[in-house]
Amino acid sequence: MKKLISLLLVAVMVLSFGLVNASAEEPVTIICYTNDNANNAPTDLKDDFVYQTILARTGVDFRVVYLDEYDTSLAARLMGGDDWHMFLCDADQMRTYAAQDMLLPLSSYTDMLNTIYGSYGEDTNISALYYDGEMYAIPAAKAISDYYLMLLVRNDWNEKYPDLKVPTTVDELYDYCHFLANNDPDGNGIKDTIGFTGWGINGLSAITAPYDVVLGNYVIIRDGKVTNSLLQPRMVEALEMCKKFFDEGLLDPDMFSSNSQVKAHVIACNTAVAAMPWSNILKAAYVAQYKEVNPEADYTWIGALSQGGDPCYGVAKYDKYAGDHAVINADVTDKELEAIFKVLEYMCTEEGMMLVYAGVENEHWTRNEDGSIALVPGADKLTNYTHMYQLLGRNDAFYLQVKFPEASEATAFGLATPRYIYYNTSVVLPDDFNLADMENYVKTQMLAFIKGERPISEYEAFVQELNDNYAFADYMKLATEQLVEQGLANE
Amino acid sequence: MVKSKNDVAFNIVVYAIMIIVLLVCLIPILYVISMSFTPYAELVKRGGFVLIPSKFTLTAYHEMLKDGSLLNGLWVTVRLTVIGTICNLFFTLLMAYPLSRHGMPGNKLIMKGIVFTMIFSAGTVPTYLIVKATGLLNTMFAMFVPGMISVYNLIITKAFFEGLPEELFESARLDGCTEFGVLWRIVLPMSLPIMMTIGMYYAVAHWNAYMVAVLYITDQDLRPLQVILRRMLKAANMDMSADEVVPAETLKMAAVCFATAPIVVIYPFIQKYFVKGTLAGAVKG
Repeated sequence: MKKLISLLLVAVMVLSFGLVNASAEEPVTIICYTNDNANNAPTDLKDDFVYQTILARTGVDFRVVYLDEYDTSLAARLMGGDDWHMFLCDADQMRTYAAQDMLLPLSSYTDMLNTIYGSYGEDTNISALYYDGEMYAIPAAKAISDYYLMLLVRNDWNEKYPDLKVPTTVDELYDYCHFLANNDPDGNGIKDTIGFTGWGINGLSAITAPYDVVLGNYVIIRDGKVTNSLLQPRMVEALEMCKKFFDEGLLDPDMFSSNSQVKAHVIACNTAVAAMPWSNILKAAYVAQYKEVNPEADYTWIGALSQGGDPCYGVAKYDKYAGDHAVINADVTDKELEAIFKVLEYMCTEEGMMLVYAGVENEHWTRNEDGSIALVPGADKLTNYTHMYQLLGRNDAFYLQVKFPEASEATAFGLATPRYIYYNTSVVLPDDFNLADMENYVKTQMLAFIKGERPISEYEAFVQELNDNYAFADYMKLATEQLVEQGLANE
Repeated sequence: MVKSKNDVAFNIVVYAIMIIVLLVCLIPILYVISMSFTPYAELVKRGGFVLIPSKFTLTAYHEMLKDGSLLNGLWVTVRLTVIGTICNLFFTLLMAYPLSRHGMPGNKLIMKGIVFTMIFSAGTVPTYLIVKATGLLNTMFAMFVPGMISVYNLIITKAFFEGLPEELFESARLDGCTEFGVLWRIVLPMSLPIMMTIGMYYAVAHWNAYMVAVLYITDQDLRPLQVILRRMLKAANMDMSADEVVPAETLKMAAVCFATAPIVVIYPFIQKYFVKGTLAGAVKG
């Protein structure tokens, strides 16, 4: 029936205008699987304004399909011979599928790549996109979430105790936490204030990074030489400081086991310093939630601490391109490839980029006179699935400012603060090399050192264990070779 | 009978252990239920762990039901459970009955073939290929047709039928009943316990359908309850993503209660058949 009606309509149009519109052909359908879960995505494509706008602007029926249990579902679909054109994957998956000749090599499409670089910026080192010297993954400016971690403190408590020095060194951080934990700042008569918290052992990096150390396997480069955080000279000193925090009861007992959002709000009630992403505390939705629980809580942040060296906030990967990227089916037809490039090119235009960032102009956002972007009130609820379509990533500094204006100061501060840069993602491991066992062992031993279950004096013996049982030295040799080859280090 | 001191001490130890086991089982359930009724502010003030809330609220349920996807998921699951279970029972019955009759030629060989599939399954990709080739992808059939007859349920049903007295069948046949008539008029009315038992097994499996939906369904309107629930719960462990606002913990717990309640409510009513059904064929003589 529908077909009949459309035929009739076409006939009427032809008769009315006396010509046949040459471009009125079926749009090419492109299916792209993604693991980016957007809970709020419309279930019907008719309601999906990103889909509709891309269709209207490029004439491509571009469908981004979210798959649950991504690895299994994706494998079933790829092996099951489904009609797929693109999918999102990490570097390891990309290399696996590229080795099976399933992916389209991209190096020769220089015009396309230059358009992407022109809009989203080019990184100088993008090993995450390559397999065997050929580019298979579409470059994408990844969200630099490593830079979201901040040291959050309670402004209302700082005002309550004007003599309390806001910390700039780790020693001062200790004094600050110690004072608040022991002086009942919320005045509830219970000694329930926690000194310091964070999510997992990574949360401690704010304490240890000023010692040029983080508590885990992090490949770093110092003076042009490849080395590892675990081999740094001040590791023992950093561990002793963490142990001091632990021994004095200043560390949150839950910090190594829980990282739920409730936890973030619990912190709002009773924690002096939280090493947490701003996105879990300072986002408007969460501010409203914690204000409801504790109207007095008012968060601010402090800068990176120093301790006899450069100030440093926490870890961040060197390779900003590391993460998930879109790849293209090696068997796409010319027409389909043209359609894919059309969509990608559209995403490189200002309109396309803003579409996948914040929606449609004047409907979801408006442009102020000074050129800045303002979200239409209430539009954030309609647009909080557009990140599914960010196949080329995003310019995070700009994006966060647009999407989360309430936290723009914090995001800018976080992005500008020095981090402990590591290179693990630039090192490609052979298939038979299992890093997970070593990293688990490192984690348990670090906790044992901090909790006093193993004396810190045994640290050297611990490194020897890594060499003997987990091929740590081989790993470092491999990392050195690869990073030197990539021109990142001298030796 | 006078109990010795040793008996009393023994009983105390037994009771203590039982109480501990009971608490271990009960506390997580109580935790989930309590969380779903606790005001969020209280939950946070009490450090994220509440067993008995001081105030009750239905906000989480209200919020949850406002979002149509969960209700739609429930509707999909209900349809899947009802239609799927009826089909499962029908086909399991049709297969188990002839296999239970001694006179059927080749039934041992067929049974061996069936048991073989119990031990060696085809695997995800080949099954996916079959579902795709039969045009079932993105239809509700994909969620129950591939597993239409469970071998385990078939075996216990067959064992139950084998336990029925042969004389019954003979007299039915003497009275002019056809084979189908025997099945329909004699066997089926006597099979209530086993039907209830395997029906419950099938129904629970459909209610919990997750992997089949994940693999074969991409249509958002056909997602069953568990898939939607899983997505909600997945957000429990935060990554450092700026985009998504995580649903409140109370909301997640309300969703868990919502998904579990129907099965928990139905279960006690058919539990009595359960014991009979699962013991079918256990004692022969």
